[in-house]
Amino acid sequence: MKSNCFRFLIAMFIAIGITIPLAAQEGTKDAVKPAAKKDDSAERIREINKEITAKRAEILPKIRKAKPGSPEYTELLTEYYGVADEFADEIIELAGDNPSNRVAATLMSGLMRSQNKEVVTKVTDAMLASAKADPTSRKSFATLMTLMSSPNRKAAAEATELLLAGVKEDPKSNNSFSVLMSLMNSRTLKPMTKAEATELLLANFGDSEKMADLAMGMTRGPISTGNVKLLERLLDESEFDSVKAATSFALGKHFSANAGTKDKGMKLLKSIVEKYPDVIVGRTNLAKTVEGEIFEAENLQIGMKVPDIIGEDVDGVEFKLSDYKGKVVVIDFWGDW
Amino acid sequence: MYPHERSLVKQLADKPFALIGVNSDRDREKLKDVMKEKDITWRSFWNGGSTGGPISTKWNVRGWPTIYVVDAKGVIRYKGVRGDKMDAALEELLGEAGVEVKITHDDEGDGE
Repeated sequence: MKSNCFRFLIAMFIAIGITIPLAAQEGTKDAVKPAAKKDDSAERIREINKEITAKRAEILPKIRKAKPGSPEYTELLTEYYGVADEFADEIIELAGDNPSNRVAATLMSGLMRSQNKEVVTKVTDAMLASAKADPTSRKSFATLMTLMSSPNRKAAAEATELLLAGVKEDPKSNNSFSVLMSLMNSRTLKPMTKAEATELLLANFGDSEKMADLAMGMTRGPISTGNVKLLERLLDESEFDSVKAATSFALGKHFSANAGTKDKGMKLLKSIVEKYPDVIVGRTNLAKTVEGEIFEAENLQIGMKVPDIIGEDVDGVEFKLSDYKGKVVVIDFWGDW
Repeated sequence: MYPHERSLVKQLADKPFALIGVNSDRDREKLKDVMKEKDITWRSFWNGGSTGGPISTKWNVRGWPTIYVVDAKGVIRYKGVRGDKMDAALEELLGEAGVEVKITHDDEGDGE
């Protein structure tokens, strides 16, 4: 638990540092499909994309070398995304004229990552306008979901409102589930309280397997008393193993974080390994995840005899931690990155 | 980390002390070069080329570096101590084992 936040940071750096640059580049390759409307503008979109890609290709190796989280790394990322700033107006116009052009769409979402506030505002406003023009399409839904967490508060508020209108209309749809989940986990703008979102989720999806996602969504922070009760009810009543495993996970983590309820928490975590060893929630095998937590709690606390490590060294020679018995030992989990 | 660790390893070379790494780099050959270049003389377990390797997974390691300090009797005594705090822990634990030391580092922490 202690390093959940750290893990999140690592995940974020990986996501920002690697996935996005790669995704941006992949987007480029797909992009050959020409826009139906105007050959000239499709050509221009390709040109802009090529120029941005070339400039970014120069920065990318530096990003890979920089230490994630360092000021240099942040600066490089700003530079990386800022490359597109000078084309912002042109991209917005071209994307508006060629709504089905995928390169233009990729360029638009790239602009959302700019550190230039003005650029972000312009792009998000334009995206909102295009989503409003075609409010029921799948693409618009995705756009609105993205906008919901945009730093452009006005656009975010409007997008949220539109999405909530959709929830009202068809509360049991998959889209509604996504909207409510994202509101429940949102830390910023809340036109609806967490409790209200939770209530709607429960009313419309309470007897479905989707409740596993709901439980996993609660593992990110301390769980309120109300939600603890809710999770306990789900654990009791759900017919799905995934829901039982996920609620045990959320409750187990919650309880084992406090000295007073630690035993109860550990029991719940262990129940996942015993009862649901193969259950996958999202893409995670929860039993595998909690095995580490249990091992740490039972073997790696201060005052406990250190477990042996048997393995090979960097040169492939086998050795054991216990080879160093009788010595004071510092064990350092490290990497040269 | 490296200069501090290098300094410790040098200063405590003749004491009942060992620094053992568990390395999660991806490329073993590259790592060997790095170790040569940066004078990393202490031994490391190879974690299979990933932060999700078997040792770090079993030990539930989620942040790097993660540090454990074990006394001469094989009991875990400190976690997550670095720099001065690690020095103090080692002085204490070596003292318990009957070896009085005072750890010092020069400005770079290189102890030379």
